[in-house]
Amino acid sequence: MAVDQLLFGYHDGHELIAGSRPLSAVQQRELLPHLDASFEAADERQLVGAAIASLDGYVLARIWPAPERPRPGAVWAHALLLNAEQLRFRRLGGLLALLRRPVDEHLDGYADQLPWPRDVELAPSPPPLAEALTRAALAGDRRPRVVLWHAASDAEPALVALLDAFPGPARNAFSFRTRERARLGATPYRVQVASVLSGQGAGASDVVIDARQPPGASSLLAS
Amino acid sequence: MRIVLLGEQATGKSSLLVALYGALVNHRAGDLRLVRTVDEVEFLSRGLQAFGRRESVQRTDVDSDARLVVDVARGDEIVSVEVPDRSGELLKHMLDSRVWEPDLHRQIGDAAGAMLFLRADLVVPGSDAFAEPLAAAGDEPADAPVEAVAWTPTLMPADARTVDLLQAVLDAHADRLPLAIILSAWDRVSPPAGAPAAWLAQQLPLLGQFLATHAERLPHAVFGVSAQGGDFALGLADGLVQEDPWDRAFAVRPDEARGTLSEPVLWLLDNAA
Repeated sequence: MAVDQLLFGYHDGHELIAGSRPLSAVQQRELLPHLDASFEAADERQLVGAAIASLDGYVLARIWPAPERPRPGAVWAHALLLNAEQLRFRRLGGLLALLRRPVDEHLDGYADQLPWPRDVELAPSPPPLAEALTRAALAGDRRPRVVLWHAASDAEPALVALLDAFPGPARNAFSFRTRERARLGATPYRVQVASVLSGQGAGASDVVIDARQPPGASSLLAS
Repeated sequence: MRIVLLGEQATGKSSLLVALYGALVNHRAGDLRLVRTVDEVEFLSRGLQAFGRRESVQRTDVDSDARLVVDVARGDEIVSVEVPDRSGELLKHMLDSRVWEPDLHRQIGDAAGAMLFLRADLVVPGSDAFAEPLAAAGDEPADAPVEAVAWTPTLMPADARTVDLLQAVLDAHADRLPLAIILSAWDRVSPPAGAPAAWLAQQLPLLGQFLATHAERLPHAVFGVSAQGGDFALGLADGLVQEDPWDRAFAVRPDEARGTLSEPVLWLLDNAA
């Protein structure tokens, strides 16, 4: 069993640089918003998980700033494409370890499928964060939630563990993104984890779960 | 007034928005005065800080929902101006795949005006392969390897791509759509050009002829714009180093007069339906 991978980066625009499978124009168009980002600091990164209808699969990707590229704001995105069978039936805990940023612009190995990783025990997340993510993922009204936490990248293992914990047929509906700054409004992600919330009405929304608050206080903000 | 930005990646869309915002905030926008900012301006402030450090602004990512939304006064009239900043990759992908980008399709339908962005410094005269003189028959070296390259829309020259885009715009927007054509990096045009429209007609003749033919549906004016005021990589001219970003930036109007970055917006306000 092997998993497909894609590398997006800045060449003549942000585009597919290498991959283990071809993509149609429609598939690229659907993937692109999930595999691009803006960063405020060079040490940030984002993790994205979302179903891709045109691929009948699911993308799990990590995005990093690429300050070594000539265009300010350039990024690298390394994506794993899980097919429907892999998403439904496989253990997903080992996938995070496959995501790697190009170093010194060496792009070897990104054009080949990767062996499916053995399952690993993911590092535990801080309990308030793990609890907030679970509440966000299982919210009955199915409205997208924003979880506020000090460092959004802390949520990476918990998000993949949550995806893994869903029954196979339900995994497709769980989408997430970690990011430095989240805005309220239309989003394709069921759960966003951010350290900053921006936009009008950001402080008072009932779709925000502030996991940074002491126990009890967060229930005033979240539903 | 909703203005849609049409430009591929690295054509100066975000730079113009940032510099225009700086001009409005610092009272360097000619007849336009800033009344209030309606949406958050965090990305514009960050861009202005980059200009202050003499760095280019960051590219706009595909996932971005950045936009400039301001109320501006012109004399006694107050107008709301909304300009979504779209990633140029979305337009590039649309032209390459020949499939409408849904958000852009909607924005064009709703727009009262448009700005079309082209990089003046990247238009190279004589770069058209068809303009290369053919070798005389029999002169080809017998062993010269010739590798055929399959044609794709990415190989279209700039003016053909732009005409392709404008034909799609005409299909998507039923009424007339005023079009401010922004020739970005105007400070880097060599030798220095005079009237932007004359430059466009000479360097991008297919686009010039298309615009002339469709002037009723696409009333237009051509502006040369330098949002940075110079090339940061090469170093700014001595007189510009100490100037603030909003003083370095400039626009050249269709009549060749130098003005502020508000000129294209003023023209769109005058010509909107």
